Amino acid sequence: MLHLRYFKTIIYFMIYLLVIQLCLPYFIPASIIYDNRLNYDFVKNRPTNIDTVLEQVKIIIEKEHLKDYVVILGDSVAYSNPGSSDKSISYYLNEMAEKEERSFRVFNLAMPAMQTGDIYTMLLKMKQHGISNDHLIINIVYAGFVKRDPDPPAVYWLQQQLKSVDIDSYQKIKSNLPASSNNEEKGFNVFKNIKTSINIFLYENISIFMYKDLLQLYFTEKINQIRGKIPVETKSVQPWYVKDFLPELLKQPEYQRDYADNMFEMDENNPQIYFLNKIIELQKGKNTLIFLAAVNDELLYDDVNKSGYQDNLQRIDNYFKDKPVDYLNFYGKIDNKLFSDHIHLIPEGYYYLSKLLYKTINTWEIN
Amino acid sequence: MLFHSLDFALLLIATLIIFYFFPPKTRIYLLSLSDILFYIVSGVEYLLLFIVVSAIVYFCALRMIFDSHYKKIYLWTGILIALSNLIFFKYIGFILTNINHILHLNLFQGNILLSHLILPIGISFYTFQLVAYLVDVFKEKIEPCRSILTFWVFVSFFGHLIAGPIMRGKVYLPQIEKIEYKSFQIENMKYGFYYIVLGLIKKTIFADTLAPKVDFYFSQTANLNSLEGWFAAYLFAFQLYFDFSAYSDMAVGIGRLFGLKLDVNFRTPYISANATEFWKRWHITLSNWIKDYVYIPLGGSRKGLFFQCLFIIAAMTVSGIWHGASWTFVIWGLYHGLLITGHKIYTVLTKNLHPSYTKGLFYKVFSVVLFFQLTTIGWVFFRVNNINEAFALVCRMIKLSHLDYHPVYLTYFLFIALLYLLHLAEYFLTIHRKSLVFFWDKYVPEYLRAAIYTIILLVLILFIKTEQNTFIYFQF
Repeated sequence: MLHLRYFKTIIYFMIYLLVIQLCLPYFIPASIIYDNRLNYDFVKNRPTNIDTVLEQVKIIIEKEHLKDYVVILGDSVAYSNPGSSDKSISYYLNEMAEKEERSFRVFNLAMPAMQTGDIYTMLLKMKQHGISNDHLIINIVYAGFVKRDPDPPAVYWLQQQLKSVDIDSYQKIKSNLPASSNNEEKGFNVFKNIKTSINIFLYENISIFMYKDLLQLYFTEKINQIRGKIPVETKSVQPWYVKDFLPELLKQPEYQRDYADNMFEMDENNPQIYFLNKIIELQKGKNTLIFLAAVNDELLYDDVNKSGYQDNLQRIDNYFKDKPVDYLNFYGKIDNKLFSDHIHLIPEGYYYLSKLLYKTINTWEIN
Repeated sequence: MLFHSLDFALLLIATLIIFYFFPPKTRIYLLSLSDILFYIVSGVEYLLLFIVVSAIVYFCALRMIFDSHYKKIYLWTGILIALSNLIFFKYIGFILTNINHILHLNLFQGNILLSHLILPIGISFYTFQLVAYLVDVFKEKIEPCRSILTFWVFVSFFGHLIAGPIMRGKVYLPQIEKIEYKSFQIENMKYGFYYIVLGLIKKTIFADTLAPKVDFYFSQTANLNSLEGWFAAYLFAFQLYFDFSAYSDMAVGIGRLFGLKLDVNFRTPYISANATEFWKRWHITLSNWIKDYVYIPLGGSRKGLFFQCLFIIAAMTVSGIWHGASWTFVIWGLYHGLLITGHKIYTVLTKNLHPSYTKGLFYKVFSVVLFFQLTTIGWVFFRVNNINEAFALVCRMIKLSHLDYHPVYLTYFLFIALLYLLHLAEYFLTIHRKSLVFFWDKYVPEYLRAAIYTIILLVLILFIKTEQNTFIYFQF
């Protein structure tokens, strides 16, 4: 009799867990995880959370019965740092579409420091989650083409994810990745590999683990609200010319590297080209807009006016000349007054950028 | 390997499955191997050292009966080797620093070996367990263990190795010797999981939540006013209790899963009315060890009240030193020695008073509240590394000279009151455990039980942090 009771308890327990597994994603307020752009803190602390983001975006698409939508991928420029989400290019693009009574939505899945390898991985992850890549906007930057020594890695956030969705690509660029991400270690590390695999399985497949960080964030916010703690207001974004420290800062090696004028390798030995080729291959027959982010050529005057730098810009343009994508080079196209630093914009700058992007996506056949 | 980590969960599950599904005769080998795997994470060299020290103690104990003429020599050889191991890793830096300071020398200053010395995990606990074993064999309270594997499991069982409980041979060795006869029992599983879950709740929900707040306050002790000092000290008192008792609960639970009954180390110590009672409720196995192997050998209560008080102070100072190589721990131990001594003297002086007032509820509550404040003051020395800062903070707390009252403090102290209520709730659960279990088994339907288990599991998963906080007592 007692054993029957234990057995029944276990059965009920498993049923409850199954219900949570299936239903939890639908009870999460989507705005915590995606609000005009993805929640960066949520993903940066645990990149496996990208699956949770994609799951939620998919739920939004299903709830709103969206047939067509545009997805933005890229780094902090596309993410629209340092401003808030309601001053991002996705917010402005959605506003523009709404004004013209276009029914498509724009989803911003960009993330600061996202490299081309991450973008490629994101496209494969989107496919896994049933999110369409029919209409895509990608931002690239000059620094992405600079020789990596080996930093920054061509896949910054989603190395484990690339390994699981495209092992061949992962093997190809493995040498470029930092040693700590490479868990094919020698010797007595079978246990470590098993543990890593279990961790990945839990955080990619079990709902409570997938939403754990988010729920922690959510409850912390609620508790802070009860305690009367007001969230720190986002300060208004300042333009670059009021920041005296910027010229000195940009002379540091880690910034100088981003504007090196050494000749770019424009073949697949350059991980940037390797992944761009893979992206373009994936996007065959689809609407793809790739834009090269503008730079503040007043702040970076000495760097961008080198002949090597200009030659490299030309090489990038030449690369895209015959590619089946819409390509826009915004170098010199955005007034320097609209920058908040050497590459990021103030809200007015992102609004202007959005108008430039909208001109192209408005020509796409989107319902 | 932390108890609330995935690594440990995998090790535990694998060991449990093999333990019950493989032939019972293999169990001692299985546990020996699991103990090695558990410890090897800290470093092969520390594992080897542990094995060597344990082996020496094992052989010394055996030689005590085979070579009884030299019994004392074997006893002291074993004790000296075990203690030397502990002193070298834990106290050598402290000793040299103080010698250099007092005698104005520069002994071993900048020595690379000494500056890179890492304390092997569990060393304080296994050393005391080894010493207790040797003394018990010497006094013929127990027979020396004849199987080195059994002895290895006795010393190194992963459930209690890192932070206790400190187990005695008389109670524990027979359990290990009979390990192959242990059958799977639902009661053991229930008991085991109950204690593991209780420990996980205390650790992940309470201790780890309090930890950053405690760190915040104690990183700026000089800036704390009187009330903030009290608040910080209360927070630490509860953080320490939840953290250490969590580990101990999990140790008891883990042992029970294998049919081993480990000693409970905590019995809601903050309801103690005096220091004597406190040390029967806080880190019980350590306080029993100090009593049996320091206090009683010194003379105990056999030489009159004066010497008894002296021996208590000495024993508690040893207890303080055991916790860490720092004068703040010495003072903490001394402080508790004085509290126990004070209580002894108080008991003697009030012996002839009418006993009714001491049995009254008001007296009891007053004593508990007062003693909790005294304990909290002691915890300042336990937490603050710098002795001057510790004294300065305690002075501000006692004098209440820097109040700087702000209405938000009311919320802070209500929070402390809430934590104390939780402690009382735990006390209630403990004393009524049997009737609560009966009620649970008889009246709570399966679907409701399962719902509660589900909620507990979900809450634990939500609270377990990625960057896991280690247990505070691991540093000892």
